[in-house]
Amino acid sequence: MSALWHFRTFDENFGPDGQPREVYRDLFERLNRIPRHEVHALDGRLEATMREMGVTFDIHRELPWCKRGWFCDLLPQIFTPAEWEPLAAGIRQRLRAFEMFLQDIHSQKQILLDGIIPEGPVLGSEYFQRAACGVPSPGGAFLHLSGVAVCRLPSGQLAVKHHYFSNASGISYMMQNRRALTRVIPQSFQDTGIHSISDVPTGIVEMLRAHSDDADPMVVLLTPGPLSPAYSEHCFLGRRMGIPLVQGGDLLVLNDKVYMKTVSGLSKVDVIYTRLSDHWLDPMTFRRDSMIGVPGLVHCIRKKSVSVVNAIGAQLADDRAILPFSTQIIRYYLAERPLLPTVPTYWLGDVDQRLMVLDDLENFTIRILYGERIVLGGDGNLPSQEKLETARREILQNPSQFVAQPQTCDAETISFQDGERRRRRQDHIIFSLRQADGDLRVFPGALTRVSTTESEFTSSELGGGSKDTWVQAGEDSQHDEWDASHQADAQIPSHAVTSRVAEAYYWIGRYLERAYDLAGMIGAIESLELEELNPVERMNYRPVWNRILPMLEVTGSASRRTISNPEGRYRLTFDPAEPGSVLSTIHRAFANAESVLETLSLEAWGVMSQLRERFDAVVFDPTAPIETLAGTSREMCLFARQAIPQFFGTSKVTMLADDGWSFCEIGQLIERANITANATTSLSASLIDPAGNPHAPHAREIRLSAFLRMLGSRDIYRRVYQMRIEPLPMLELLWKNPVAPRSVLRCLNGCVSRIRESESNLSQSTSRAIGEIEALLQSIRCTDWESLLDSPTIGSAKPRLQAHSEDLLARLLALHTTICDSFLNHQVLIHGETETLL
Amino acid sequence: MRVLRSIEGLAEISGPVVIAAGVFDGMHLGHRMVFETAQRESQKLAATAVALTFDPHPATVLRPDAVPGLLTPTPFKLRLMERMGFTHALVLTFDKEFAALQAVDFVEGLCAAANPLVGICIGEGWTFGNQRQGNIALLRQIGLEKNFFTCEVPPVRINGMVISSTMIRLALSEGRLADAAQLLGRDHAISGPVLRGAGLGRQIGFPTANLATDHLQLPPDGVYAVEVLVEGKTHPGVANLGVRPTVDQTRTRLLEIHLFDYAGDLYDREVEVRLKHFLRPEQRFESVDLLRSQIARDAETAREFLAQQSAAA
Repeated sequence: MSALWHFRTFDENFGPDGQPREVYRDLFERLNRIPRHEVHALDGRLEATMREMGVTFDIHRELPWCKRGWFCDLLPQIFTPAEWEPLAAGIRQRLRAFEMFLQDIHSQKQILLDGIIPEGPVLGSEYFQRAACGVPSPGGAFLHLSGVAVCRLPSGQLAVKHHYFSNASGISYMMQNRRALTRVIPQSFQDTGIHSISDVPTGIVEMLRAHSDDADPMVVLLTPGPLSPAYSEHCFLGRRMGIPLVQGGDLLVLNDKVYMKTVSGLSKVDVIYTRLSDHWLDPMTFRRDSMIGVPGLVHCIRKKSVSVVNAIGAQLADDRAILPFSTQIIRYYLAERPLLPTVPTYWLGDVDQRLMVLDDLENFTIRILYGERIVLGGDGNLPSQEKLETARREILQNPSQFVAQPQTCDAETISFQDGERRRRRQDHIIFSLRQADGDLRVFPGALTRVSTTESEFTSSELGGGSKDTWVQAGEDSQHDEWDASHQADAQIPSHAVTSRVAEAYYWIGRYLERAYDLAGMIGAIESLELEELNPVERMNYRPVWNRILPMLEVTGSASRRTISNPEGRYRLTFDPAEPGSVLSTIHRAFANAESVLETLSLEAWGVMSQLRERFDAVVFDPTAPIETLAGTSREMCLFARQAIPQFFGTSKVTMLADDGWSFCEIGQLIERANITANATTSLSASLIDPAGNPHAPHAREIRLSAFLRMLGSRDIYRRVYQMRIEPLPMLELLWKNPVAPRSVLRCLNGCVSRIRESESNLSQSTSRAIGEIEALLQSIRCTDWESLLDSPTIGSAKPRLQAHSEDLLARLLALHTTICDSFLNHQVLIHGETETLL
Repeated sequence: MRVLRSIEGLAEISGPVVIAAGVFDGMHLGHRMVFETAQRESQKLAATAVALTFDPHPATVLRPDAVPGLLTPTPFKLRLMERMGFTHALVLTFDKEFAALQAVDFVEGLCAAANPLVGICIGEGWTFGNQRQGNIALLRQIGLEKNFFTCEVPPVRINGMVISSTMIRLALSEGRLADAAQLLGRDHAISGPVLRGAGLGRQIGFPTANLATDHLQLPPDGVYAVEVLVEGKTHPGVANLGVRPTVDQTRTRLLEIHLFDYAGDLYDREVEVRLKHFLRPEQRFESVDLLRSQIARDAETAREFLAQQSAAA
């Protein structure tokens, strides 16, 4: 066997003489001058930049989010004009041919009738969508935004390895690599004449908008959601194109049209850029078990009320069983010689090809027809006998599901890992766009995929990393010098956010406020413990702590918590199994933020990531010494108290003040009002003066002082009243002071103004919600707290103060349902500008 | 398994359908390859695999004077299909009217009824429709128009010989049970309901269950070591195939089985008798006592054989 093994690849960076190739010489010279520790530092900065930018590709969803940042290498891939121009021409030629192929297969099937290619791999393809026959495609074309994987044959010749014609997955990583590298080694860009790729999102969104007759069309990006490994890419594209990122559940088909659910009703959708496989797109036409599609979407496409890009059926061009016929397809439709060769690809459903491959199996990479799984090879190593036999068995069980390509098609390159140079393997995905006028534009860049320490495969889904890819501008061409101003985002009008996004923001606001308040209370207690309190004062504080505690309890909590000792407070801060802990609450806020990543600013996301990372970095160990527990709780609660307001502040100055943000603030205010009202109500019974106790006023003041301190309102009380803490002014401060940040009245007033701001013409449901909040505000304003304190009970019933507080609290808690029903669960309301539904 | 009885019945299946079509008498290794291909393709396309067959055997209508002995009557065929994992079978009544149906109309009927038809798998050389005009070329031609793929599964060969129902019939008629089993991929079996008999076996101490053998392709008359599948459980036993010359003068050919250590009532139950080994030819005895003694010896031999085989497995 080993005698047959003839593994030899092209060296991307070095010539046969061992010297750097001309195109890399300057870069290597520069890198050689940098001390190793500085290279290491640059490498670290690049990795940190990627993490800061929120670029991930999650292949293992069981791992906590952000654990697998996107790997970009310090050393870029460079294409010379002499390499690039024929490559781009070859890709354009291929796209033209495959566009004609898709048109033909979904109509006459002349290529099959003429016997140019067998019908089995085409009509039996998982990607052949019968429902696409006769369905109008945007601009009469299937392929609009495409990718194609190319690699180097051992001779150095570039050749096509795989088509990603229907799914330009990786395009954002191409741009992110450039953004990150420009931050880390900007000088290199200024010294090298390379083409810019910064206008890629603008180009895409212009193309998408051209597929609607509407002057200001609603364009959305349909994603499978956060469980997709490339969700970070979808978020990036949504953000850079300025279009909403939607999931299937955000869209709705009514009267032959597609609508997006927003907080202010339904908004008609004109163009959908989909990142869902056709199978999942519409459960009424394709897979019935799809939970991520839009029922009735294909019907709307037929009615031409919406355009879907790329067109349904385009995935057929990506079937690896079709790839071996590329030459025939190009010759048949264009009567041209292929400009760009295809890597020799053998479909194992063909007996002769199968026998040939099985005879020399160790020299091939065996892949399945769909997806990225590699059965054998692909890692540049001689496979073991056991691997060979396993692969042989799998192939023979179902040969038509596999293709084989020579192992030698990935070039070798240098990649930096911890400052060290390492030999890796690489290929490239190049992206192109069919512009509104039908011209095909190949973006001058690529996602160069490299194997890494973690994975010997280049594919991102198999753990591979990447390189930025530079396309040199020719001397005679007018190249774009790198310019930071080119990095501007597409200027596209904004639209209302979806109900899902608004709901996620609402919960971000609520959870962060909850974490903030809880951290404040724990921090206050830790500080009180440090102060020199006498035992009597301690005895007076603790009942307050323990009264506040029930409002933080969660039904189903394993055991009743106590915050009277450092271990209990430590658990309440860090216990991941405790649903109400600060850590768990931050995780929930984070999960909501992750689901709307595309709408968060990078700056806000950076603060949120840091908050989560700092908390995750604490190893939960409740058996540590008491001093350690107390110190860690104090430090991290203090950090949370700083980072959470920082998130709100950063968001406010870096994000659109749209419906999403309004609902974040509404969530924050509702949560704060709830916590204030709950805490005050839980204390109300003890506010009644127990007559005849000479120590009662002093003890009560200590308790109330602790209480206000835990709610972060003691200093505010003093500024407002300049007197010792008494029950009546305290109640008035917390319930109805118009300027105190914690007062229920102020919080609810804030909610009303946010709601009014988001809608110029109030809908019926909005008016109803505002009506309910204002009725509660009126009740709070009219409450005579003094008389409630003075007339403690009615007969044997509970104190009137307590009964009234509980009533107000119940109405306050019910506002959550009102807000959800009025704004976050929209199904049938329609946007004011669109026509009325019958 | 759901058994559909008309082409229109395909409409009951929601979602795409891949059909494995053929007569499939014998359900041998070649047929199994067609089924497996259809199932694999259906899995890939998230479709339902449907086994399409005909009842009675088309030869009973097309060549009534040369009807071959059946290897697998339709109920047995359906059970084997179910065992292979099919959830749906389409059994079309093959009568003169059906025989007159044009091949094109037959395929178009399938297309019209299914939601949609995405593929048809057939064995190499299979023909269908009036005057046997339907073949792989016709299927491919209609498939291009109707968007279904056609898959012609090449025959399976053993020792260079193509496996066919005819070959299995020949092996059986010559008593080559092992050869037949190799071609079938399982032991040859006779399946059917247990008939009510005269109870003669019980009188001589060997209660038997009788199975009809009409229209079946049978191995030579004689005594066989058998395994009998009753309601999912296999029981060892001994069987006599023949006309029972000692006790029955009607010359009716029956398969009589005696199960070892089995006490239940088998009347009217469906059983599957797997012929494991030929013990001796059928013979006439002078007396019932001699017959009883011989049956006891046969039972002992069968027991030993089956025990050995079981140990070897």
